[in-house]
Amino acid sequence: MSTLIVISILAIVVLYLGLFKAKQALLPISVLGLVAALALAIMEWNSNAAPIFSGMMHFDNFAVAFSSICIITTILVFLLSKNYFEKISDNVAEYYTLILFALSGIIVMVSYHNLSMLFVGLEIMSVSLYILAGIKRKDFASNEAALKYFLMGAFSTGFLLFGIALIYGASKSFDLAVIAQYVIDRPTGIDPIFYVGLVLMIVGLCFKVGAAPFHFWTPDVYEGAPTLITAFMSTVVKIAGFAAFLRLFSICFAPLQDFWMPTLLVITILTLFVGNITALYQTNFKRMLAFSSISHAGYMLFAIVALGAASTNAIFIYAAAYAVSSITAFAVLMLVKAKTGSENFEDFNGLAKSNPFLAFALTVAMLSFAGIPLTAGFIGKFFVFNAALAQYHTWLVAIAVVNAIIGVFYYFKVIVAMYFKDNQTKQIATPAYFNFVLGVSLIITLVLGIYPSFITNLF
Amino acid sequence: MVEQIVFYVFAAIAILSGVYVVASQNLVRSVFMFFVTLLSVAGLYVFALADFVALTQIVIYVGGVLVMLLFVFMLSSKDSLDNIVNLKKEALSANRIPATIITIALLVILIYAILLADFEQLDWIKSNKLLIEKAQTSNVHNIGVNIMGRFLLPFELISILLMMTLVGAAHLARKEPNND
Repeated sequence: MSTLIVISILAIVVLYLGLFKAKQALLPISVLGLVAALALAIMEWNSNAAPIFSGMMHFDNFAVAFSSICIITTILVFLLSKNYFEKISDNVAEYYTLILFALSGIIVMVSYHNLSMLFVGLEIMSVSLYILAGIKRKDFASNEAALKYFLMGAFSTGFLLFGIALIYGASKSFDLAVIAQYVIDRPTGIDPIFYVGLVLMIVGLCFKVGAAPFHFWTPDVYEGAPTLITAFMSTVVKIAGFAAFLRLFSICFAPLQDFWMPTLLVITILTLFVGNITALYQTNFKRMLAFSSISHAGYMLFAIVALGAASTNAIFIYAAAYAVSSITAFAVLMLVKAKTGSENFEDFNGLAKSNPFLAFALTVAMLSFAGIPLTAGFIGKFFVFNAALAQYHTWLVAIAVVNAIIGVFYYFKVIVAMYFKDNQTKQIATPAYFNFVLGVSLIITLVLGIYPSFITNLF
Repeated sequence: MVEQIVFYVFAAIAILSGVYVVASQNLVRSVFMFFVTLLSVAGLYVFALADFVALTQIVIYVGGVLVMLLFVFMLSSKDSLDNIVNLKKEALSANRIPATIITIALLVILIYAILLADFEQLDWIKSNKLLIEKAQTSNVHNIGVNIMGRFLLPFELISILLMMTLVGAAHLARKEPNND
């Protein structure tokens, strides 16, 4: 709770700093505030918190873990934003405020104990993203991204709300504990409208995390939005979506696994194939990352399909690995784009000669995406597949491994471009903030890859 | 008996005017017909003993949203409206197939649920039937107590949502110097 309060107040403080033209103070104060929020969140670890505010919010270990990872990723995104927003507009305080408000919505999404809280948190996050996607007002692609995201998001919210209403209609409660009790009390004879509500909620949540066949907005929105916002969307927002998904299903719907598992299984397989096969044909690095984020959503859905005690841990590790690699990839992309003006694979030619560190960091990130051992991505995939195998989804894991191999192909494209293709380019000047973020991401990726028990035994 | 007749009249008006809103080629007529849809739905809310929801429906949708839609028509040029009319010609163009599939799927799911669901047998509806006489007087009172009591935290969070929307809208609408 104190985390949520700190982040909400921080957003308003940042807005005031903008009002008093204290531009230099924006970044340090945002980061310091987030560090304070992170510390407050971690202090709640193992405090055996009970649901508060008449069962609205439950800051348990699950919430602590996922809010911490979201806050850390946001800090990394903020560090990359040095001098980024200034190029878009003179008034930068609003951007920090909007991101912080989105983060407060995300904290609600990972700690809700009531469906009304889930809905409000999701709306806070989504609406601020609709605005953030469109902040380049003179850029047509950015406008298109904002409008598309807004229409699709409003549509999916409708599905979600319909689902919540039907579940309320059957169980007469928004409270997760009461709904769970409703399910447990009726081994047979749950009202059909409950099942329909469940299906509609799956549709709404799959829209939000960008799983096929509800992924159509993802590539255009990710490509059109400013790169830094895309980095935020594809890491923090996606993790929050999965945390909300997992929380709902593990608390309320776990006994009904026989009913929803086939639906989610089809969605997972479709997501993996659509994401990976379409990513193969991309020539634009940013668009490739968008499709690869769809396929990573597929891997994370695995842990929900095989819902069990190990799911939380699997999604947490996968999300952590995915977040740091994505941040690295987007950071390098921002630098390359600032230099060359475009985002294609050819722009990475010869990067290994001109900027060895950038090339090395990006290589490790790509290896981690592909799931090569000694990187965090391997551990993430290992735990997700392990969770699936524990429930004997053998052939599902086989399909996933085929997809991972497809993934290796397009992730290596950029590595090949950097190391084996020549291009007379001058060195890209990397600001100190970027080196710091890349260094931190690199260390996290390698440490988790080599010594994963730091976070594997959390839950 | 009289209640049932009035209910079906309201429901029929809502559905028919809704169909007209979607099917009409003329956007202005659609908007005016939408008034009728919203008012009849407000009537249905009154029948469901949700007089507060009916009131907000009229104040927010009829008073706010529709008036804003009319302003859009008055302020936008006639050409852009004509283009929208020209867009819809073939019944099953490529644009429409996904939308058709999704809406039909949703309709099938909802009809399936309505046919299977036995609303009379839900525990909480059974117990609430006994309380119907009480409910008529205490609806608004109940909503107020719940918002300030059980649902205090979501209520406060909505203030964050509104604040954020305000900041974003002000920012997107801000006039910036044309230096590039």
